[in-house]
Amino acid sequence: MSHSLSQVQDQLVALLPRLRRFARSLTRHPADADDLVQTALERALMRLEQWQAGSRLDSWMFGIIHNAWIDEVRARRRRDRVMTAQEAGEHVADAASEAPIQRLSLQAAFEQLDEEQREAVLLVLVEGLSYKEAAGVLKVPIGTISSRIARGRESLEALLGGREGGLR
Amino acid sequence: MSISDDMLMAYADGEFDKPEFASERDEVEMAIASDSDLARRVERFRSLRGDLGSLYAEVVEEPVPERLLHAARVQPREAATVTNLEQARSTKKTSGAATSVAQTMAAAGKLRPWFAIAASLIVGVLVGHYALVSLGAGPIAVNGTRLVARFSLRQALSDQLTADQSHASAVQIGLSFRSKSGQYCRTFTLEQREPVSGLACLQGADWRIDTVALAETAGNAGTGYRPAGSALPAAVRAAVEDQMSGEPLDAQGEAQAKRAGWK
Repeated sequence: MSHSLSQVQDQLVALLPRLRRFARSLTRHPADADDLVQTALERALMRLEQWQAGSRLDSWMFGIIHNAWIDEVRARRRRDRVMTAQEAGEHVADAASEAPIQRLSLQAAFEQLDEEQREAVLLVLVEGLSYKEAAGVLKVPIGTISSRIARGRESLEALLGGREGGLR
Repeated sequence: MSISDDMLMAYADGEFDKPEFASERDEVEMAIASDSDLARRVERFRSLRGDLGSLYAEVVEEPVPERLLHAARVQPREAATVTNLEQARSTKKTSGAATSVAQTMAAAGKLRPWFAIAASLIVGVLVGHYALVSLGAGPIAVNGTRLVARFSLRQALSDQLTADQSHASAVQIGLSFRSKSGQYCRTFTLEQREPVSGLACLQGADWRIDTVALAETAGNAGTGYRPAGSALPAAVRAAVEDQMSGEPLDAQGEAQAKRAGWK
């Protein structure tokens, strides 16, 4: 590897604010987001040799966060099978409680999108990755990225309907 | 010829900025030059993109928590030992003997005995009951050579008081006490299809899992629900007896310890 470990770790530290934002957009929950970032950092350092020096470290980390979240969601589904309906209800209320009924802030509107749209919108429209780079992170075809972004934009505009700023 | 929304959107997102997309870019630019409606659509796409730049601005601007800075700086020595654990797991999968894991790990010579014991329990749990604990994800994660609490489990260990925990919570906290080395430790049960109980102690920023074992479900098989206060597995009871200094905390002591951040 042409980079020393400490150089890569410096880059990881510099990326943390953006990694936390991506994780937050997935989990919609501050503590879960930081747990996800921590899990991803540990995984990344365990298999640093899989990162191609010269390729984008941020994209690689986004991919690890994405995979770690898929694992966590699966683990939750398994656990949820034995949860009571009451508990399941609590979880739903958790996710929805931040959404004001009438006029949504951009963040609240964003959190209404489904997970696939949130990821694509965040990587491309917030992080500035190209469709191709985002497709690489999420391991889906480019056309899937562009359709998720198109649907995400459509939903956001609908949710933000009354907002000023030239939306129709 | 009309231009699709997808084309306009890709243009607004800068997808046609590269030289190889010059013809697409020209096509869109010619179209919007002669159609103010298309131009407005592009403007709308760009304006939403601009607004999204401020999404979670507070997350980007606030200081990064210490535990994440620490996690980014972990030395690879610890990471290297995990490879042994993963090898141990694959050995385990093919051999089917729980003891072989502890032996493999002890042979690796890098793990303290208690960890080998805890890991053999975990792997036993893993193999015998496929859905319980997945290493590296879920509520119990591997960090270097240690097992740590994550997500719902970490949050429950830090925040949940036995006095006001709901029976419906996915994590049930049992005893809380100070260990002989002065850290706070708590027993927990993960309520899932096959419940798991364990002992976790706060070390630095992480709740480290000291021991974990299948919860004892005798007497309520099939209900999928363990009454509060049911007995901890023997391995966890032994770990508690081994570690506890003095008496377990009462409700007031627990609340005070939580307020002090379990420090």
